[in-house]
Amino acid sequence: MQLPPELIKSLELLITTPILLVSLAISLRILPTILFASMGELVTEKSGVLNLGIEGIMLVGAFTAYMVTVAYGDPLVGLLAAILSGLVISVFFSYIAVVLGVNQAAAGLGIWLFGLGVTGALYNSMAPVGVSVKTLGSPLSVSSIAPILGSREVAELVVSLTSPLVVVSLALVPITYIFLRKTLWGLTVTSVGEDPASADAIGINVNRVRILATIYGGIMASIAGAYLSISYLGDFRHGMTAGRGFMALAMIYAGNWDPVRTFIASIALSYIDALQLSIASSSLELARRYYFFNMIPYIAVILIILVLGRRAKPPSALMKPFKKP
Amino acid sequence: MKRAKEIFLTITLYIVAILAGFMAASTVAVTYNIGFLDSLGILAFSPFADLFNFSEVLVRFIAIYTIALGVAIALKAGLWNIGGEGQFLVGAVMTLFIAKSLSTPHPALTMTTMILGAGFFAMAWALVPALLKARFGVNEIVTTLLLNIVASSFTLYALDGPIRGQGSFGYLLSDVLPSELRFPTLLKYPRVIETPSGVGLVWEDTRLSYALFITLAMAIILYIVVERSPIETHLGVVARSWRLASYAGINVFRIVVALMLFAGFTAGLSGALHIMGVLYRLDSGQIDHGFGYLAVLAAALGRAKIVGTALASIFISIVIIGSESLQRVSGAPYAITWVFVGTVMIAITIVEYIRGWRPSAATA
Repeated sequence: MQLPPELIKSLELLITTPILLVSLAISLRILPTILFASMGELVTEKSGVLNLGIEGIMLVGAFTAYMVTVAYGDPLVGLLAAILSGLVISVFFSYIAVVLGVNQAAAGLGIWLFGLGVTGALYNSMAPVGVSVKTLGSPLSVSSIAPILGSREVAELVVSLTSPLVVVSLALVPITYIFLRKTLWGLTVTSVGEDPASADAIGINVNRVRILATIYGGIMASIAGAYLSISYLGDFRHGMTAGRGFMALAMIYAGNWDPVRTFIASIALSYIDALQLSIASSSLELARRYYFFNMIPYIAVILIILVLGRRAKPPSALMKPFKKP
Repeated sequence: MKRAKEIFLTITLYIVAILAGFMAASTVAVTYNIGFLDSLGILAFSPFADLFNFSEVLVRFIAIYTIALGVAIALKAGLWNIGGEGQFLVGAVMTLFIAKSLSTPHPALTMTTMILGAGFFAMAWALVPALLKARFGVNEIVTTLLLNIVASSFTLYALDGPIRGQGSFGYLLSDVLPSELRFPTLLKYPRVIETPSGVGLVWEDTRLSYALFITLAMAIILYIVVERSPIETHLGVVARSWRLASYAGINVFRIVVALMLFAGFTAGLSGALHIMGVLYRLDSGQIDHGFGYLAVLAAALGRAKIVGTALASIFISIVIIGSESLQRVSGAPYAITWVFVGTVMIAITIVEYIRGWRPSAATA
């Protein structure tokens, strides 16, 4: 069997350049989007609600953050606006999904398509053309610390690691773990997702817990979107989340609803994504094969599920609305 | 009397849901300096403006309904195939690949191979989500959606390689299908032209082809095989609970895989029909065609019934033509269609809640 030339070329590149280290820095910049979305959605799903609309909430969050940052010049205000947008959508979603108990899959898809449409259409009519905004980035810069650290690759890694939203997203992993495993609130969320009838019998307000968990997940999704537009790129593009929200959902499967395992799966995914990006951008010849490389992370997601998520067991009451008897 | 009242209520609720979608799209269109009522009018009436516009409605109907048939049958068992979007594309790619590389003694033989090849390739595309769902209970919505993104990249890759057209000059487009491999046109429309000797009438081809009959034939067969037989009930049991279904002696694994594969097949078929009857070639502009997602809306709106889905597909096609006219007039992007689709999708979940019909998603 003959390997495709682009594959051979990229394997050569892997051996001869510090591309592995560079990709680590890039993957740290890709990771927060998936982490914010998956850690938020994890809590939502643990409570028994599946919010497929996080992709749409991410898009709205990214768009809102970008527009407000353009208007006010301060990315922090943009971030707050994005959180507000996530709050509004998820309050609506939690009302129809939890209180009314509508079909969560259909409603979630609707929210995704609505977000996709509304941000695309409004971006075309309202956004200034090609304006990059001030980003919420690291206080350090590669050029200033590279001489001290002695290597450009290491400097890029440090800069990636000190970006505020990256730090917060990494901190979310232990926080989510401790919240779900060690606190009474976390156990309440889990019990509501596993056995709502029993939780109700011991006096837990099932639907209130679910509403709060859904709103929390929605806010995290909007931060994930805001991270993309005002921290990672400094720009908005139509459909810029490119399925990252759905990837986050897949990572929860792969991680079997465990924060740490979800984190490990997410790291693997972002690293593959980063590797693919840096290989494809390493030479013109390979850049021409962009479409070939672009498929890799999405196929990787499915492989990750195959390897890690085989014995995954969703919360028992996932997608099952609860009506007080 | 009670039943008539119920039907009336259902229709009213559906109209309200659709109006909500119109309102949302028109509200967004206001940012393009077009009046709210103007855009409502364009959305509602332009599809019926002339015969050509109406033939375009049917062109969209074929593409959407062919995919939606597979989506609807799977939805009966609580399975959501969102992958039609990508399966359509890989089917289209396969159609062109076969047309380019295969030569048979008779065009009809080649055309049959193209159609079936597209269907089976899209079926293979759906295999992994099908197995993951049936074996491990992995949410099929997530996997099929991610494969849509893979399919877009795959299509661009194919347009850049295996099915790249001669003289495409760096553009991503395929060769034009030779005329003997196309479906014949079904309908011509009259157009008035001015000639030096006066005003004349010419009959021009619409893009509506005989592919329509393939879609309709498939719908009728499915209606008889699925909705007029115990299969419908079996699927309903699977939708309610996998455990219940296996206690009832239903082989859930086999049914789930078969439904997901069948949904892939119809989507691939739709891609083949669209290439052979409408486009005759593929270019990078078709990547965001959207038929797969519209088909999901059609199946949901049609309550997973063959006839209901047909009506919903016709309706959605009308909306698409309306919104395309709106886009031409206002300069708004295609995204405005998704505002409509998303809003209606959310609205019908609420309508179904009021009606008390709640298909639960299949759970392991």
